[in-house]
Amino acid sequence: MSVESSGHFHRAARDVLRWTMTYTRGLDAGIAARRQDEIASDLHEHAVWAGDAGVSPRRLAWSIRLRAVRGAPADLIWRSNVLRQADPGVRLVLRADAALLAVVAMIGVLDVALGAFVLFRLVRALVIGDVHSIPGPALGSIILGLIALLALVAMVGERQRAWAAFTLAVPAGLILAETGRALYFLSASAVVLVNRIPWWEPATYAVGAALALACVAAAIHWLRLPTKNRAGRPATVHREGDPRA
Amino acid sequence: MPRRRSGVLLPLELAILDAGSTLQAADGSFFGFGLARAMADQDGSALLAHGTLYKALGRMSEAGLLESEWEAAASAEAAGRPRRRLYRVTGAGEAALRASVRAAPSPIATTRPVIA
Repeated sequence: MSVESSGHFHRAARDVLRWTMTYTRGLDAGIAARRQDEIASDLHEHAVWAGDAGVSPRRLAWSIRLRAVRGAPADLIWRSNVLRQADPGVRLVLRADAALLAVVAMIGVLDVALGAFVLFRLVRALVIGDVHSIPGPALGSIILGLIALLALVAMVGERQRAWAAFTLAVPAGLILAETGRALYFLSASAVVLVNRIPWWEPATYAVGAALALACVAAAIHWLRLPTKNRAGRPATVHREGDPRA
Repeated sequence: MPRRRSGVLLPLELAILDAGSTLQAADGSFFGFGLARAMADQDGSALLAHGTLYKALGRMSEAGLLESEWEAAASAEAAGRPRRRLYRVTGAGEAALRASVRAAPSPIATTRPVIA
C-alpha cells in the first residue's frame, strides 16, 4: 500500500481540509475555493514526495498535522485580512453569527459548570456523611449539566448546531433553579442564602427563561441560514487514481 | 504592532523570492509544496506551515512580487493529481530581491545567488 492511500495520510488530510473549511467559512466563495484547492494540492504533493522519499505514513501524517497547527495563527490572520476587505454587510452577518455562537457556548459552559459543581458537592457530601441518599434536585442538576455537555459537543458540528441550541435551551431554563434546590441539601451557605432571599426561586426561573430564550433565538437563526452557508463545500481527500482537477 | 515600511521585505518573503527564482529557472514556475520543500532543503529547516506559506504567497501576489495561474485541468488530470497553482517571480519581485541582496548582504549572501 502506498503512502498516499494509507489511512494515516487520509485521516490527517481530512483533518486539515476540515480546518481549511472552517477558516474559509463565510468568505467569498471564489477566495475560499482557491485556498481549499491549494491546500488539497499541497497535501497531495506532500504525500507523493513522502512516498518517493520513503517516509512512513505515520510520519507523513504527523508532519501534515504539524504544518497545519503551526500555520493556524497565520490562517486566522489571513481570514481576518480577507474579511476586512469584504462587503460590510457580509462582515456584519459573520460577526453577529460569531457573537451568537459565543453567547450560546457560554451558556452551555455555565450549565456544564453548574452540573459539575453539584456533582462535586454531592460526592463530597456523601463521602463525609452529610447526606445518606442522593437528593432529587441534585440528580436533576447533574442530568441537566450532562445534557448541556452533549449539546455543547454537538454544537461543534455546524449541521446539528441549531438542534443542539434547541436542546441546550432545556438545561439553560431549568438548571439555575435546580442547582439552587440541590445546594439546599448540600451546602450550609446555600441554606442561609435561600432562607434570607425568599425571591431566589422566581429570580432563577426568570434568568433561566432569558437564557433559554437566547438559545431558542440562536437555534431559529441557525435553522434559517441557507444549508450551503452552513455546510460549505464537502472536504474530500481523493485517493490515488482519482484526480481532482 | 508597528507597520512594515512600504517596499521592505520580510526574511520569509526574501527566502520565497530566492527559492522561487531557483525553481523558476529550472521549471519555468513553482507551486506551494515544491517551494516549501526547496526552502526546507536550502536551510535544513522543517517544511513551512500551510498557513504561513499560503498567506505569504497571497500577500506577495497582491504586492505584484509574484504572479500565479492555475494549471490546466487536462494536464493535472493526465498526471492524476489535483491542479497546482503555479507561481512565477515577476520583474518587480526580481528587482526587490536584487535590491535586498545589495542593501543587506548578510542574510541573503549566505544563500545561492539566483539573479544574474
